[in-house]
Amino acid sequence: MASKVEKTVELTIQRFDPEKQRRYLSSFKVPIRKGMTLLDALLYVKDNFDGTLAFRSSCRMGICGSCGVMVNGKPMLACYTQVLQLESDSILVEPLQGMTVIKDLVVDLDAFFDTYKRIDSLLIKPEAAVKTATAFAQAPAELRRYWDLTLCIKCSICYSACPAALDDRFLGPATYMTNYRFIRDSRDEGQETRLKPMEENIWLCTSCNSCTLFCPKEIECAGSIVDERGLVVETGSIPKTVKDVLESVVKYHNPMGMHPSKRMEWAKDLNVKTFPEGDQADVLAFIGCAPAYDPRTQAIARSLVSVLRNLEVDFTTLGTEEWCSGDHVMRLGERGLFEMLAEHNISMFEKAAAKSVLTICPHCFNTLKNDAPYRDKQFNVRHYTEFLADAVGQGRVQPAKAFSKRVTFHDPCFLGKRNGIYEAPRQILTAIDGLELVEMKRNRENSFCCGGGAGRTWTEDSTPEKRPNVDRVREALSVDAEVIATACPFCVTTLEDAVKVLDVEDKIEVKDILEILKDTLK
Amino acid sequence: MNDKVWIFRTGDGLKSALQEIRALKKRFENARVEDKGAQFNTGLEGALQLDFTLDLAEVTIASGLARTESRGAHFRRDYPKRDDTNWLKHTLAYHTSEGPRLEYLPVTITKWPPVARTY
Repeated sequence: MASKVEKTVELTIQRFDPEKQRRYLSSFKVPIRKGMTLLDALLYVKDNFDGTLAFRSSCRMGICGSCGVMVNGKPMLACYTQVLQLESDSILVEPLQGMTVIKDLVVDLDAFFDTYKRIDSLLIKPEAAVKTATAFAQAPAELRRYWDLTLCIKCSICYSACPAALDDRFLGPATYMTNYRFIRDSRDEGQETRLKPMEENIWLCTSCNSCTLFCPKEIECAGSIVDERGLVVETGSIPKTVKDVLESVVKYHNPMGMHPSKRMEWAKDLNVKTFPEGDQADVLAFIGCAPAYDPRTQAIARSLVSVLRNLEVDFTTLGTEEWCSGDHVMRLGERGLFEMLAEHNISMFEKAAAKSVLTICPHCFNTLKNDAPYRDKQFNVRHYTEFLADAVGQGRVQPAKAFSKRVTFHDPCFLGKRNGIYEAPRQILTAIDGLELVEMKRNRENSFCCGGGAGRTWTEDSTPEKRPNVDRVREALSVDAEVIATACPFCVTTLEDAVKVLDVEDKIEVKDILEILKDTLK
Repeated sequence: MNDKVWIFRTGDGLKSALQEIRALKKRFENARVEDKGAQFNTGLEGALQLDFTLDLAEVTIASGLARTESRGAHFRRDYPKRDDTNWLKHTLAYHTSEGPRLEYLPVTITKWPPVARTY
């Protein structure tokens, strides 16, 4: 390489010596030139400093999928990563998370590749057709239906980042996506065979979007899984837990099977305005099913009322006319039911004519903001953390009491990974006196899902060791947090379940930011 | 190999490349694997690969040097013409301690007889 050395970067590498079963860190100062990839830097270390460093690599150009590693906490291909673009003078390189390490950066890929054996990753055609045909012609438009899904290089980054893959029944994002690639292929005649291996396990996906977010080929893995669920739902061969959720929404417009007339019971002593029966207001608070009905998370809805009143915000709700936003329903594959719910809520929003819609739940927030048909209406939808962070910035939030605890923030996937809102919740927390905010190793974009998304909060049937929430609470305990703060009712319930499973209720508690903030205001 | 044994070659270039490869093979006798591990030893893997690569480089050069004609991706600037009379044959290289021993095998012509590539 002829270009000049731009800077020297300290490369710290997580090592593992399989013979001595020893984990340790090695640091090397690597001169970085323009155009150098992280793989070049690793090869430089191996050539110049330490020949014993082990990592996989082959093509050096993002085709072979060998060199997936964690770079400053984020999984990526070493050969696809320009060192200068990391804009960091110290880089931590670790083996892919969630995988068994063989040596240094080399992980065991057997479990990942074994998942492909549970689907058919070849075209399914009747024997006779294969024997007689010379070619299976396809029009360009038919090719386009699945082309993007063929770009997978099986690097296992999605599998490593996947919370559902903690349970070995789950096939992993790449494998569901590969299955879907054949389902979308007009030449394939194996649709029924292809749905079978997914019927029992596809429900473990939480739609956290990590697979799509980290895929070096930008493949919509998470979307493929939702589409496949849609096909499984159509066949009717779905677990009872999923069926129950969908039926409750059909009957009662909420997934927990509560009577719609009870939707405002959480607020019965609070005199909360409701529309269309009552008054109009600038802010329409969309409460969401969990905070409306679930006794634990009703406290979050009640906290919202206290906080908004403290800030003198004029708000209303849809009262009993608020229906499930449909996020979980849609991500469980019931698009038709989702559209019915959306149609109703849209007509209510239009009647209420509020300037903004404020949500408690990041799932409602995401779907009201980003999913058609809601998206097409361009309502001004805001999550409460954005709204309150603004108020903090304007000096309108004045916590009067201290909250002297060591708090870690768990990023809800639908707030963070799906909407890029990472700082607003932290701004609220750091505005609170006495609160010490500590970060878990996996935070912000690299956060790890609680395991509650896409309906799993109601259908959870994994053993405790294989649940993402247990993994996550262990991580919070590892940074000695006394409180896990989050900003999502599903994260609150799933993480609280894990606290109980781990029997650490005396060590750590789970709170929504609204609950913490409410207690500090006058 | 990229400089002297790429598509366009000359006898002189190939001779000098052969000397260099032999010198490298000599050097390789002293190569040492730093990694002593029994698992996933990429140093050992690299050493084995280099060993084989040097052998194959020598075979590539020796057979190219012997083949005094041009054919496909073997283009001898000093022998630019294709010579089907003498060279319509496969090269077989055998390992000996003095370097590769070359033998030849006739080509079985089936459906497509070879013709000069003209554009």
